[in-house]
Amino acid sequence: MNDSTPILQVEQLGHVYRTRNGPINVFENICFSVKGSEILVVRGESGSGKTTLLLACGAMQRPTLGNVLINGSNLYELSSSERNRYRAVNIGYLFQTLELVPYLNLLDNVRVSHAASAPDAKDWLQRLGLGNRLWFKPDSLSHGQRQRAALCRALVHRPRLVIADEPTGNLDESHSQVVFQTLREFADRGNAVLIATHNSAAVEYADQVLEIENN
Amino acid sequence: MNPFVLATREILHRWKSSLMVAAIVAAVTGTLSWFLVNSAGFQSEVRRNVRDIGSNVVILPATVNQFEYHAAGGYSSETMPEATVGQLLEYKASLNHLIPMLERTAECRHGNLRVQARVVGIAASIAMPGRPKAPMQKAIPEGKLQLGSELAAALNIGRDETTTIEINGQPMPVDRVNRSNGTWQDSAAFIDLQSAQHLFGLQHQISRIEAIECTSEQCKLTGLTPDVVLTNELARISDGAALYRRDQIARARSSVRLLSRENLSLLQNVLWVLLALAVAGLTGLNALQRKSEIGVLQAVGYGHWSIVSLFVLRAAVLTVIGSLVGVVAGSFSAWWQSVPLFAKTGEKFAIDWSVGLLVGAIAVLLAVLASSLPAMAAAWKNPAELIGKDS
Repeated sequence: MNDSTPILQVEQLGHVYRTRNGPINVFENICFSVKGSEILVVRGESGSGKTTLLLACGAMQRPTLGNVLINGSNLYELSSSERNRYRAVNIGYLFQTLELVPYLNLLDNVRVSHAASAPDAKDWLQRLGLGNRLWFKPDSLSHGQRQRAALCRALVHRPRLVIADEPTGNLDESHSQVVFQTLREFADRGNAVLIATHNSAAVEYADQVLEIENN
Repeated sequence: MNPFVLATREILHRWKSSLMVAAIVAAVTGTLSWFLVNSAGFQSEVRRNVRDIGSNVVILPATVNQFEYHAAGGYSSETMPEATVGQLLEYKASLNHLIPMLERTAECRHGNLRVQARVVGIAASIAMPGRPKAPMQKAIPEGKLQLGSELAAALNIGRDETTTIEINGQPMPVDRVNRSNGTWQDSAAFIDLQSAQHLFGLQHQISRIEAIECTSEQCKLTGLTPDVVLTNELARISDGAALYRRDQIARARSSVRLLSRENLSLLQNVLWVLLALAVAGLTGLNALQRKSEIGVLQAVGYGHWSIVSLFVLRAAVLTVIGSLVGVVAGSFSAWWQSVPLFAKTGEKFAIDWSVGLLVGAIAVLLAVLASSLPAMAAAWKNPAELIGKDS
């Protein structure tokens, strides 16, 4: 696949949450694409639907309208099991809430990712400055350390697309730089990266910026 | 990383809650096992006590005059063929513990003392084929004599005295003096049936057969009352015998058994429900509380069934451990308490391990079902619906 073919393509995407107090139209008619070696940064106020957009792109939340294609495959035309497998191989996801498995140490938290080998997991943790914390469980680490471990988990299986939801939330400036730099290097190897963040520093590393407004 | 490794790590990480789950499972399976194993002993003890109330059916020669029989304190010199017993057994009458007897009034002499007393030739109780029971009446050793306490006193024989008395001029060694039981038996002498038949010259003859009725099956089948069932059966078996039923004893026996059975059954049901609630509640709750983790595992590539198996394995491991401890502790506890609880049958009490196996198997099955259903419901949802949604 050459760099001009989009890895992620979003067409006419819209999502409505149905609540007791009536439907909430989170966003509508969103279109964009991210090619290999590109970083797209999504910006917007809290509640503008950044996380929902990322979840939809990450094959984790079926959108109400529109299509999400990764490498040309329409994610939501796949069965639930096929989508699970597709996601596991092609997408790396960094959750805003990190969601590390509390009973696994850092190394196993990274290894738990699909087809991740122990040497690769160790290598990524060392690269992000967690080489001396391999056997620690998440509850004994700082938020910043947990965030970097979650990033390792998203990258370790070499997906074509990495989606990062607030990857630098609660990180100091130097650690934020490390995270953005890592994502930039990852993209530069021909992969696509989609980031939602409030951190204005992200723009420096972005190839595209998408602003979404609060509906 | 396979689900078994994940389940093991999770159990070890949350060891306090895992221990608590296993302990609660042990407590409920232990209580239920104790109760079920104990119930078997309880029912056996009830059966023994009910049996010891005594026979409630008397079969007499058809020629016996009822008025004279009762006026003489339940005694008649009429006889019938001993083969009547064989006929009852062959027909499989609704009876058990058949005790054939031959009674005569005879002179008993000890030294210079002579008294007229009832001498009873008695055989060991005979179980109906297909209804094996421990003998209700043991055999009296051949040629030996057992004396009622009042008869022994009348002949001036002490409880532990080794002596011989003459009955109708024939010497017979005294095997023992029975304890008083407040009935005519205190004034009677007992020998084995064959010795009595020989002594009185009545080969193959008996005066009566005592028995315990087992009519519940036939009553259910035919809708008839117990006395009608028994009378009908005897009419088909022999025209030389008549049957008398001690209704009060039959009712007492039946109501004690029914009461104990129904109470045990009620308590058992309550305990089964408690077991189901405890096991299903604990294991089901675990799956419900870890929705977020299900979402994350889905997100990193675990398939639906791998996720379900993670929860099932955890529930199964903890329930197997808890059940094992509970069943062993409950069963041994029932065994340990059997002697003080069951005076007549406690010594012979044996643990029925199949009960524990059943309790353990049902607990594990419940755990597997209760953990798999919410895990399945969650595993087929989109990860976004689960992450951050722990209840």
